[in-house]
Amino acid sequence: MRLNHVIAGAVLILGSSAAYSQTTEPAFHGAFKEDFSAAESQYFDYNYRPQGNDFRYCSGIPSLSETDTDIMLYRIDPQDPAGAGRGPEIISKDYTFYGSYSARFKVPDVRKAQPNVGAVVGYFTYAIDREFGQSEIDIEFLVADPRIIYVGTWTGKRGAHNRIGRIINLATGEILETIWRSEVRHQDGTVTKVPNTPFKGRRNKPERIEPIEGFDASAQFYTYGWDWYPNRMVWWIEHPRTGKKIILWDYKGGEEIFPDQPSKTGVPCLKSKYRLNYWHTDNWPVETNPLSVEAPRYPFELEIDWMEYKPFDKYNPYLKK
Amino acid sequence: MRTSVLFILIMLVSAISCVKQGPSWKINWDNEPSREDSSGKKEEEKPQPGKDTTETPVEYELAASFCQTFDAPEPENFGFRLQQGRDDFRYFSAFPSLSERETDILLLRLDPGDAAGAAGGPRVAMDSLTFLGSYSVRAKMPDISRLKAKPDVTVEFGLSDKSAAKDDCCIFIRWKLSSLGTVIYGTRGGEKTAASPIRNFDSASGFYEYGFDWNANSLEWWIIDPGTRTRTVIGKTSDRSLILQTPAYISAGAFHTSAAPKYPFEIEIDSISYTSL
Repeated sequence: MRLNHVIAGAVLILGSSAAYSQTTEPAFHGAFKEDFSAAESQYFDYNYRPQGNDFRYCSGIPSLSETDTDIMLYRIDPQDPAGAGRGPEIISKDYTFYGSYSARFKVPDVRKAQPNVGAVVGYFTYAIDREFGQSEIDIEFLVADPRIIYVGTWTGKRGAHNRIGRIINLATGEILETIWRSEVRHQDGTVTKVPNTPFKGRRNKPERIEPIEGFDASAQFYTYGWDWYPNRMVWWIEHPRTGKKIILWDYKGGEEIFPDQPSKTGVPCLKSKYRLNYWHTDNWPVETNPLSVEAPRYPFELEIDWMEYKPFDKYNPYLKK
Repeated sequence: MRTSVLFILIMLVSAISCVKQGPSWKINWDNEPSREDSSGKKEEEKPQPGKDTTETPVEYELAASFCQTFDAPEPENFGFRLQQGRDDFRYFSAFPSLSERETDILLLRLDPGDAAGAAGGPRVAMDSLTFLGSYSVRAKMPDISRLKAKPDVTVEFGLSDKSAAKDDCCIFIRWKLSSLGTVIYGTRGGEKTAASPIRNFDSASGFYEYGFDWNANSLEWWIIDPGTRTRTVIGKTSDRSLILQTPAYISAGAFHTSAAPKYPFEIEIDSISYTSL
């Protein structure tokens, strides 16, 4: 009887330990496409306010601007404070990694109501690893000028903020900058900074981008995306008429620009989480309008049609062979 | 479920010009009653030789009592007045409320490109007539309290008589977005403002139920306090010259009167109900 108890106890402990070990293993998404046709998502968690009653999200509703399209609607709350993550945000339930990411969305049109509003639409991946630091890939808009698209990454161990980025006016095809910069705060309190440094040659491709006539991210839905490979990033947009991919930036790693960091080239090398958010900024004006940092006065609406993820299985180290 | 009844009314007094309309009605937005014929003369003033209209029984198809909730994309009792020649994104039925959980609503959105005036804004209306009875709407106005420059927008729930355009209300409740603590009520003969009609009233703070009771000899406008569920009468009249005596169309709409709003403000309507006498 006592032996039975011991065995039963041992089984219980082993079982618990196995369960614990399962829950601590990071989980990864397979391929998915979230079309936001229901109130809740199978793939994303909503960053609801802790006090409940969060009416900034509406999923599975008809588009406010396109017939026969169901969407996820974000509203910015004029009472929300400034800062990333202070507005509505969805976050993938599990991790994502190397793969192709795409989304179709329409940013709010603010220019008649409040042309100087400071608000960011961030379509991105983001995660922080305690040991190895940040893994972030971005496509961003500042809604005060929806012709301008920001693409880039953030990487670095704790204390480091390493950026590679490109800014493009898609209506004119003008590339406003293609740069990298670095800021590393060391344990002894000293800081090493490298200011914006233009990329040249193979890391500045394409050097020219054909404009998309009349491009305005707030006037209609567009499909944006990036392909994330080990040591290479390709950002793109689908041409709204032809459906062809227009490459915004094809960045290949090479010379190390961030030595002593897990990602020495700026291409993230850590798992991440897939996200889309929308928030007020009071210190990041769009390139073309330095006044665009006002708090929103209206609940401007962002429409998301779908978000997709297709992992590049052969590159993803988590896959069991 | 639509249940309409055939109702026969005998119109008694010739003083009411609307009585001289044709014998039966079937109206939709594409077939508004014309107010003038080609000669510019009002239709209802045309002589009808050999016919004493004051004593002729007139048939009206009247809607039965209903409570219209907006939990389906196409409301059973109401149609949308659509913009011509472009997609119309001003009406969304079965939309989740922006302020109340588990409530599906009719969302009325103002389009900054709309023309000024009652005829320009979004409006939902019935195709069937209703008559004496109790009318109510449960609605919430958009919160614009933080805006310095208030938009000149009017929201309206009311009845238009069958000879007029559906946005020409002759019994109504109105809200001005520039004054969220007041309610306006009235008839075509005039309007009055009820300031702070109930304690802590703010039409943008949540849903309130507003209504009026229309009798042949009296009209009474009221509001229900959502906290206490008590009904407060905000105005009444027994002046028959102000009280419509013929069947009417229910409608609800919003519009601007001077400068167009810069933002597509959204009005939430949870339900519209009618209980006949």
